Amino acid sequence: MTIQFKNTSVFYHRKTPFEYQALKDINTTFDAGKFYGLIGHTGSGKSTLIQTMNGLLLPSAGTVEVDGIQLTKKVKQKVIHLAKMKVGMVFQFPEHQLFESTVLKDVMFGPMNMGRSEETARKKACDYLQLLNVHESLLDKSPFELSGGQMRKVAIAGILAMEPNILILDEPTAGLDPVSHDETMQLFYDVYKKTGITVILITHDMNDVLKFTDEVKVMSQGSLIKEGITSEILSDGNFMEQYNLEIPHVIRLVQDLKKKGINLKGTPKDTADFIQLYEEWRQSHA
Amino acid sequence: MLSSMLLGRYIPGNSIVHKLDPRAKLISVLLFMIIVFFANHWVGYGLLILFVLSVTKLAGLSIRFLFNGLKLIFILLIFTFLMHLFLTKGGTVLIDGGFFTIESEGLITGIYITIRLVLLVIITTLMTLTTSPIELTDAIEKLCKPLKSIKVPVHEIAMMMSISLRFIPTLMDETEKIIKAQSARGSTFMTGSLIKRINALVPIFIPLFMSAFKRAEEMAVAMEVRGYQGDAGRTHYRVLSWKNRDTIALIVLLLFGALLLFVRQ
Amino acid sequence: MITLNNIAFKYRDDEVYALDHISIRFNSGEWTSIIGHNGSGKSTLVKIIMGIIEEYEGDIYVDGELLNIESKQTLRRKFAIVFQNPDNQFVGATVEDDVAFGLENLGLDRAEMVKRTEHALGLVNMLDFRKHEPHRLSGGQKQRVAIAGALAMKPEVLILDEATSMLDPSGRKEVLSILSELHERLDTTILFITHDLTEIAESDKVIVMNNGQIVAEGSLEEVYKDKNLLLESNLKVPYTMEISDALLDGSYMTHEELVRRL
Repeated sequence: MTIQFKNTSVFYHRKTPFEYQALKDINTTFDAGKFYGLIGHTGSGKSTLIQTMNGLLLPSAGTVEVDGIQLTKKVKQKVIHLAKMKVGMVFQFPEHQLFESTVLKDVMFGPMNMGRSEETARKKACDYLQLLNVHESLLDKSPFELSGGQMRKVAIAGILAMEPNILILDEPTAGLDPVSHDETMQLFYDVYKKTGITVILITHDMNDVLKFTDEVKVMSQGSLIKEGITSEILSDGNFMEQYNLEIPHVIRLVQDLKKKGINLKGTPKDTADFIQLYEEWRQSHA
Repeated sequence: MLSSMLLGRYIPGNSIVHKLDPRAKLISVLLFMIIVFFANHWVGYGLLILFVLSVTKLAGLSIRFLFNGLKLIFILLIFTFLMHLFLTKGGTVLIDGGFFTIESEGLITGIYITIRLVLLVIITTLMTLTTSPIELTDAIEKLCKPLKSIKVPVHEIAMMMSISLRFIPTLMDETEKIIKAQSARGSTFMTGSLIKRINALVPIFIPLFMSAFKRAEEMAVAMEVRGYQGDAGRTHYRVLSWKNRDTIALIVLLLFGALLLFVRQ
Repeated sequence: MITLNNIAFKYRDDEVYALDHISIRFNSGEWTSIIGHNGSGKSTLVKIIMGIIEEYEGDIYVDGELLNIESKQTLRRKFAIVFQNPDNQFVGATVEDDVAFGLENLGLDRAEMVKRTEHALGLVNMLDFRKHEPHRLSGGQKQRVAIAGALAMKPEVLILDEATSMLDPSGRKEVLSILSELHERLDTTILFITHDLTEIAESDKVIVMNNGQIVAEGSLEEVYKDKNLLLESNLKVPYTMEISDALLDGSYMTHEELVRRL
């Protein structure tokens, strides 16, 4: 399910003294089945970009094509609804969207809006709640009785149960403790591996970007300034420094070791990878 | 639509009207509400219009800008005018439509009342446009202080007003986020029957209320640990200072009221 | 200067103690960090110190004086706290109004308030923003204002209850660098509560909490000695330690040390 941007621009407060351009002439493609990282500073246009992918915002100029659906300035509500059904979006602090009287009903809300039968919606809801380790005894409880971490899981299940072709994650782990953070990210990765959907992850955590994504797109001041293979971009020290982005721990280790004369082969994705690469180097130099 | 609504908005500036003490402005508006009723024929109304125009000029705002802001209450104005036109009787009959008549008294009263309403709205708008909400809150608290002796919780009301004002932008942002989140889950607000549309508001209002309650609770704790215990023993960082120009402004207004009484017939 | 003696507390209807008879000493001028996962008891501890929870077992001494109903009014003034959500603790209409809020409650005269507000905003580098309204500030800036509001009260202890957890990386950096400056320059006593091990590098003392108990206490190196303890406490082991565990002796080290020893 590809997403294609053609000369896409978005203006806010058009024709007022507050006018400003949040997206500047974006041309890029998100290919089907890849895991993307979308990075850049707060206010760089990442959030605006993802909101044009399901018609929450319409481009002021140019088009966004989502799996064959053209989204333009003048597109009809029905077409927008079609795009929304293909794109699942996990917003920052998704637990703030819970509203139903029970956990189960809340997760069923999305599938029901898509026109699924109650039976199917219930089944999907149960499946994904189980996948997220939400215990069965909680299904009939009010979501507001749960702990913060459980509420987050229920909200995420509500998006996954819509079984979107494209999953957009806008800082899905903000505010979680480090252990829950790792669990949640691993879970998204498992869903991605199992279903082969396209995933777009917005995050400030470069370690996550390195570990999970295939490709990354970097935004600054409303423009797309760089795109390509994750490990290559994140290893580009000058670039990362110029845009004040943090270099992932393991890449920093590899670069610092290189200065010492230890040349590891390849770029590790996480600490386990690093340990393996280092062992290989040690054996070859033993 | 909502953006053309001027009443309750504040436009920062440096005019003499901006600089007046908010208490002086509040008292003036209240006085003006009385003075408006002194006028009872065209000379009086002419003077009132002249007065409001001069204040607008002094505030550095354009008349057209203010009139645009009146659009929202246009229907109310028309309705008021028509009601007086048809229901007030007296003078000569201008039109006799059989089951209704329009008489000269009705026409004149209709025009006068509408002018009165327009002037009141403009003068109140002028106050809010030139005074920041927090200054107004301060002014209300100070002016209502005497009411404390009859057990009106003046300080608490003012504190509530100022915290509400402070949270308006936060809650607006929050509403937008929740609308987007639910809309991304396929919720539709724009289509379907009225009942369907009202139902579609539930997924927005419940999260909004939940979050507002949570905020209120955390805010209460934060205020308590910073030593807030109500009005007793509390001093004020923001002070209002009554200057000569404030006294002069009030005297001018009173003289103007006297002039209106003088030309009254 | 603050001593907690055998403090215990149970939430209503709960079987287990949220705080299970713990004793701690916080010394003047020290930066103490309390780490623990959500539900480990660290927030309950703050609530007790701040007087939000009042029915606890055990004694709290502040400067040698017992905290009780008579003394609490004066003793509580020695603590000031910054909470997690930047939006929900901003009371004033503008930055300076917010910093002055606590001072107004103390009933200080205006000249003193102006002096303290200015000084506190200077300490957190927010003087230029004094007239700004909260919705025009970033999360990090709002938390800096909250710190200024706390400092203006001239507390003996500055408590931060997960004050960085809702911020983006630049906001976190802002807050942490302000704190380390305060600690170095002014010897501010800091009690820093977090679930993130990467934020405690500068503390003098670290306390690890789990299930309402203190499971480790000491310097960073001492607390990090036991990898299993961190795992059991549901905390993330730092990457340097993970690597050292696989390739070296498993002890805690900084990035630079790790590079040196590999």
